[in-house]
Amino acid sequence: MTPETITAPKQPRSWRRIRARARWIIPTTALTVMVLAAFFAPLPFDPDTPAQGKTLVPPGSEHWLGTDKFGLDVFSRLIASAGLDIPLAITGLIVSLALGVPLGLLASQRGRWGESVVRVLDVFQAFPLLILAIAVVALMGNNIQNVVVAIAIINVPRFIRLVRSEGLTIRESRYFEAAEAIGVPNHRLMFKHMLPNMIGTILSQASLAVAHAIVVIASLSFLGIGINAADASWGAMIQTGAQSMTTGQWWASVFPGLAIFVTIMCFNSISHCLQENFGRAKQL
Amino acid sequence: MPVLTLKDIAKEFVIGGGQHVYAVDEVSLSVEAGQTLAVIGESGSGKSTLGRLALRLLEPTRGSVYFEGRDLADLDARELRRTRERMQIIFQEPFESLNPRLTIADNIAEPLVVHRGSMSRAARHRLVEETLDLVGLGADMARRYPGELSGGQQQRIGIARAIITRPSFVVLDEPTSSLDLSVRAQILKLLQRLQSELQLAYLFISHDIHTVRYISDQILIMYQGRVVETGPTEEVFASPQHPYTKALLASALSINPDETPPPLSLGGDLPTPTKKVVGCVLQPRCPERIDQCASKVPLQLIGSDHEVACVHVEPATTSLKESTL
Amino acid sequence: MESSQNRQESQAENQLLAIRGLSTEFDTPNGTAHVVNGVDFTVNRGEIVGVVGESGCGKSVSIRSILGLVRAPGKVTAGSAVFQGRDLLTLPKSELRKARGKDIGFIAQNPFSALNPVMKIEKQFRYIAAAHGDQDGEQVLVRARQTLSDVGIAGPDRVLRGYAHQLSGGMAQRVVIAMAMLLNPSLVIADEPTTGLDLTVQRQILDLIKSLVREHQRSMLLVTHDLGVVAQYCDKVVVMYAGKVVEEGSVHAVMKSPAHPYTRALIRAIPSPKQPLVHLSGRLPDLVHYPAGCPFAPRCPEVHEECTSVAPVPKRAPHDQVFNCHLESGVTEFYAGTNA
Repeated sequence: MTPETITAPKQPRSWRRIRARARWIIPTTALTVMVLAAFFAPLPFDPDTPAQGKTLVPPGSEHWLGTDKFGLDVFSRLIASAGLDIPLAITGLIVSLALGVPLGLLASQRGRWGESVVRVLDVFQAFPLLILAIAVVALMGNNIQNVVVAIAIINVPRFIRLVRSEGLTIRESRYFEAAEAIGVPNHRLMFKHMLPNMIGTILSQASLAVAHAIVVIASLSFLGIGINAADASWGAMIQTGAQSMTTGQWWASVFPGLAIFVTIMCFNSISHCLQENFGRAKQL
Repeated sequence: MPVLTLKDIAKEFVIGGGQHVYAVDEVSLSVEAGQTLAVIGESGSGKSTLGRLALRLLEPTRGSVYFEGRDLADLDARELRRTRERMQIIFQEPFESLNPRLTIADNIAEPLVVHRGSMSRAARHRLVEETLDLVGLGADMARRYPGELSGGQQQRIGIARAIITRPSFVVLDEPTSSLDLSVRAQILKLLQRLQSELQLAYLFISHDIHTVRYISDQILIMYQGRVVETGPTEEVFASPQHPYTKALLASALSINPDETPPPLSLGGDLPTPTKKVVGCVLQPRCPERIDQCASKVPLQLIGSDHEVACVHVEPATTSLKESTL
Repeated sequence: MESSQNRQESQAENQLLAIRGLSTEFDTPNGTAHVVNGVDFTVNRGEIVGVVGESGCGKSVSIRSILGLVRAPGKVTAGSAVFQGRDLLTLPKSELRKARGKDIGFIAQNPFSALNPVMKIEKQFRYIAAAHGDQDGEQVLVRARQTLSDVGIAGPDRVLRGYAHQLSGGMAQRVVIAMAMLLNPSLVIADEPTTGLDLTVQRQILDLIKSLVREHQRSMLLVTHDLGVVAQYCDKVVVMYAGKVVEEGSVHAVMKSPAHPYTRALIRAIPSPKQPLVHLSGRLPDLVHYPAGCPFAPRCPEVHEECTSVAPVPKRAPHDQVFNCHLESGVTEFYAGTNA
């Protein structure tokens, strides 16, 4: 039984509680700054123009993070990559959600259709996903659109399953039964009664998926496929700097690696926050 | 004409292992406007299933549901949905029955959005505020969320949502069982007031004997999916006929320490639902069991509206039946 | 002088459990909630005491405080619980564990949470016995069979060899009761033992518990929210509200001539054909910002000015019960009718 207690005058809603949490403000700010800097900030050096004669310069006052074997400034290139890798990952996820969420909602309906969908996905997801992504890009061509397709192929099944699973749970809830008893039509049931109650979990998983997508993009560009090899991308930077590692010039590879690490941590942190605050509605 | 009539309703479920279980078996009832029919039973009695069948939230295996004179089976999906404007349900769990992501106002207004699409937002808002007032809550509640309210308040919201389209029939599935004692009385009185103001027909499902006696005009006692006794509440309480009814009433403990309850007549536990039982469902536990109980035991009329399904009960003579017509 | 001293002494001898000033707090995101605030009551030998109140009144937390089952973020902050001459609240953990089970038997609300789902029933009996130093397997089995048939289980061996999920609710609760009685405790504490069980099973279980308690002159502390259970099965009743005891006395006194306005309100809120249903408005006070004065004041139909600022003191009412209120109790039978 719920005790009849007087709660605090006006409990902050989920939004306000989130705002109070620095835990997501810091990562979100960091990511935004990185992406905006890539597009708008004046970088110390042109990321695509090598500095003559200044190859493999260690980090110092002129080149903050050093230069790579072509003479390109690591720092500028690092920031420029953020403008490619992060938006690409996010775009991939947006496409995945746009396809996966509605399909997942449909799959959560009563009937055997949903079950069949899951069986198909089982087969599909049995493939190692990175290999799948490589296969897609290799077969379909080396451009940005195909990278997005590859990310979508990896994530759409994931979200169909997630949304279906959440949907099935919500269908068992009392408020869903109440909505059916009111006579709410199917489409409204899905978008007004189911979706808002799973959005927290979806966004939380989406954030984790973006982090994973960053790794996929980096892996693809490390292998030299997926995007134009000359474009600034963390994976490609790691590639060009890899050989120099053995001769002691670590900065060209390590910094892009750190950048990937930090970006992933940011998205994980955001995911955690989303799950905590939007995950399940609480009786205060 | 009764607002709702169920005729020989039955609902069969197939559970694990291919077993067929009758959650509800051959139940008939009717509810008039402004009246309350209480359905009382323990777990496995089928009372909750019956409530869902009455609103056709579940499809009956056999039998018919007549609402305002029309057989609900004759309606297609769209018409059935539209009929829901006039028949509603209030659930046992106050918090769980509200959408936690919608405001109170949105929760209450949902039936309006669905059934009165032409209503303007302003008009909806006005009606929501009026309904909040009708259930004894202030208009400032509208912008809050279900999780911020107490159990009693949440149940009032559930009630507000159920009556906003002015239905003629409401199923109440244990509406006060999850509430504290002092709050139950508030909600019961509210339900009574609304019933008389809006001439609502109530199907009141409960397992609490005190509540049922207080609020109902007619009572239906269920055991393992079947009706064992039914009739006007006061008459059934004054002279219960079926051994199960007697045991059930005896289990209601008086708060007067001088009134000791009658001795226990029913031993054993509630059976797990099994295959369809021929004869009386109470056989394994009944202290008055005889051989005749193993064959089919129908409901028999023993007084005006008072029916009992027991072999030990003498049916009313035809002259008595005629005189009540 | 002497006779009153004798009376006090014999009273003290008769006391099995004496709770004085028990207070427990919980750390919540909104602040410290004062869940139990200075609770006093006594359980005498051979007595069945009912602790009744609505949710949030602190009755379950009080029991858990006595048994040492309150963990962070909760903490017992004051008071004593003297049982058989020792204060349970100051006992070292090992001593307390010995007392629990051996001298105090506990029956929880949900039998399926009290029973280990993956352990055979037989093994669970052995566990209990072993925890109290009894290693003799055969002996334990004999006693287990005995207690199981004492609780009305006809085929104890089958139950012993099986698992909890194979039992119905009523059977499972009987097994829990048997386990509680295994080591022959002098005090039995039951926390809502029949809530959640079906009606026709409830009475069986309550009758069973009562007979087990009476037969061996045990005492019992029965926590419930059901006034009917209190009236029919208890000798004495303690009414709690917002962490305080508002009334304590014999069941006859309290149920038929309740002195405290809250007790009266509870009784009047039970639907009955013989009296009008009077509901109680308002809600529990904020346990974090615990009000000065009487916690019931905002809802009390008989509230006076001093009630909101001055805490009430215990007084005696005509039928020898004790109640915490500013009002003088001149009430006799407050309702002539009965509640059936």
